[in-house]
Amino acid sequence: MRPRRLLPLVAALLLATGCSASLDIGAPPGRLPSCPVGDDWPEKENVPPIVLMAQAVPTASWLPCITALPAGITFDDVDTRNGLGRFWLSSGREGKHAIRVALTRECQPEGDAAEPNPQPGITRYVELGGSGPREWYHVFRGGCISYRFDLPTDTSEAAIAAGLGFVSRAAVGRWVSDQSDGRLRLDPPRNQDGPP
Amino acid sequence: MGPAAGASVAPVRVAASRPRRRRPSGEPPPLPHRINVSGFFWLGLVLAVAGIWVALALSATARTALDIADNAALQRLVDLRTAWLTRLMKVLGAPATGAALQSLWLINLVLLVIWRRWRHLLVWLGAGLAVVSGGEAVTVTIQRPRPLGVEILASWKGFAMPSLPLAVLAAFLVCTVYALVPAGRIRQQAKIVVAVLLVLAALSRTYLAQDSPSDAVLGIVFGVTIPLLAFRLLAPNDAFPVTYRRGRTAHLDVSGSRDAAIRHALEDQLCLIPTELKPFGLEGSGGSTPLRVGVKGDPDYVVFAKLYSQTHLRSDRWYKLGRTLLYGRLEDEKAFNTVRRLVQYEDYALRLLRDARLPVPRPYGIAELTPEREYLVVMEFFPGSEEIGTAEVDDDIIDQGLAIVRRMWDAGLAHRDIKPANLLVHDGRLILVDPAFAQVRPSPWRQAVDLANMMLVLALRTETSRVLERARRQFNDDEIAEAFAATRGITMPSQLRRMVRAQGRDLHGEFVAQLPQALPRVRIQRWSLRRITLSVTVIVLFVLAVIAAVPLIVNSPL
Repeated sequence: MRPRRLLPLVAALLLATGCSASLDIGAPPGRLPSCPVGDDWPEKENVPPIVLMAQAVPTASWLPCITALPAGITFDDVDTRNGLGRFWLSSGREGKHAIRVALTRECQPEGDAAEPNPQPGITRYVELGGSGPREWYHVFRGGCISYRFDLPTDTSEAAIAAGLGFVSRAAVGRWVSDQSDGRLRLDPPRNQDGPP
Repeated sequence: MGPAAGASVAPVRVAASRPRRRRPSGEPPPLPHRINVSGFFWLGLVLAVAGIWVALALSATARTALDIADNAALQRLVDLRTAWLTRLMKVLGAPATGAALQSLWLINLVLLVIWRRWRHLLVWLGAGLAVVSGGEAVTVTIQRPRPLGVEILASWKGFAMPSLPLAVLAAFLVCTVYALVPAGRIRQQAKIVVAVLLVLAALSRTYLAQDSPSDAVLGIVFGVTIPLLAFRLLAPNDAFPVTYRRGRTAHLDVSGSRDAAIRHALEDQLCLIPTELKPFGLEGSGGSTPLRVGVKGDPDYVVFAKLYSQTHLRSDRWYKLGRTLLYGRLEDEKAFNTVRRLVQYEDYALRLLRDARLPVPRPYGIAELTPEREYLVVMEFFPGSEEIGTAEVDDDIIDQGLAIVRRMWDAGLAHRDIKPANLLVHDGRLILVDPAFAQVRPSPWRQAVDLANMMLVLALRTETSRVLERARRQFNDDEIAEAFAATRGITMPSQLRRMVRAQGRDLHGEFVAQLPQALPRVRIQRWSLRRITLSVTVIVLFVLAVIAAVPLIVNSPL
């Protein structure tokens, strides 16, 4: 059969699968939301995902970011909407979305508070035991960042967690302001009240 | 009687008084292929938008400058915020929500399926997906945050540039207008409604700070342009009109600019000056748009023209693909590559049959309306002729019909579409028309089928015994028995099948019963590796398409 004859069918299929991809898999992966080094970000284009997460949870005083991922762990994609900011990491062994990092306004941590806390003002809770995915919670003023590990128990969650970090809302706000020579700010002025 | 005797009944063609004119090389064809001025306007806009996106993706300075400009505009809107206005804006923004967009898509899907407007549905789907997937890709590439420094009062998702909800809303509304609303005044009014809806939704989303003004504007431009161009290029209204009348949709609208183009082409290329142009016998034609054309002469006369476009070319392709799937390669199933070749073939077949002294219409040639897209095949018209299915059939007509088959056999030709609509009785002469499927050096099977179909057509208006008795004068019993062994339901044209069924007679059985011997049926299924591969491929593609289509129905487009 000549390929030309199958063209409409193939086109329809490609269109259909293209749509399902856009609906099911999500958009192409965004750039890595990397943590600042010192007071600044080495790669400016990695800040917008963090700005978006700050907008998703306007009360959060801390935001999640990535410092350096251990070998075998890679960044997947990000999904941010009002009230929720998430990104996923892949594990070479466990596949896509093996680790989820989520920012929410509130959470109900399970497990015991674990020392040391990653930053002053952040309390870490680590869920113990169980055969399913385990979660680490980081509770702070105005928000909560959770790590969900869908990995075998022998995997070093601590090593992965060490590759993840926190950036303060104030630092992100400074970045926005610096980019615009002070003409823009991350958050609305305190007296700007929207109607109920 | 000589079968060619009926071929010269039309008045002699009288050339137009105006001499034949050579079309200068720079002159456009009679019916140029256009996407209209507004199409170019939107295309220009979308190119400008693409330029802005590239700048934003590459330049932090451009992003910051746009942020500052948007922020200034947004601050003015924020100053207007009141409780009642916020409630109103949330209502106005409702069309750009996932649930509303999914409902709009599903309503379109159902209506287009009910009206079997597959072409529109495919273009709808493609344009919608292009906007959804393309828009998402752009948002992730540019990574623009939501409006900065203002409180966002409603829900949002993902990066902001372009506004995906507005782009998708614009695309779905434009698709709806082009797929469901008939062209003309009502479509113009629908476009105004769409524009109002988009402006209100954009106002709502910027007021609520879900989008910056530039996100909204660029999203709408993107969402409008893609479906607009898709429909104008892939489902143009003149080829795929939106109508709610029953009947075949393959026929082209021959009013307006096409009417003028046909007149111009006939005069310019064939020296025929049309006085009247009317669709003719549409119900009997699915493969082209047949026309009756009055022509100036001394006296005035009438010609018959068949208008072919890419629609008909695609129909031919699907028809042949379907035959290959159902029966294998019974005979030449190669589709035509271009409309030009399709009409050239029909004109050639007409001339070939005429050279073989068969009673066919006099060919007048081909006229080009749009190069490679639309052509007319023009031939003699037989005023007052009657389809054989309703005409008086006497021994003379029977003999003429059988002589047509005998002559085709002798000349190594087959018509392949012997049915009542293609056999006209005119002044006691039988005329064979529509040789579009004719074949040179056909298989003996196909020639046998032509004979049986001719006998069945003749028997529609008389007794089978009479037709058989006359047939024995030109064919022997073996040939007739073979013809009926080769012919079964599916090898008969659908019109002939329908008419036989309507009479409630088993014409085939009656003929076979009168023959001294009944041959076993000729198997028409042809299996080959090619057919198996093709069938499996089509089934797999179909299943995959169904699987892929489920999320389209279940999931929200946002």
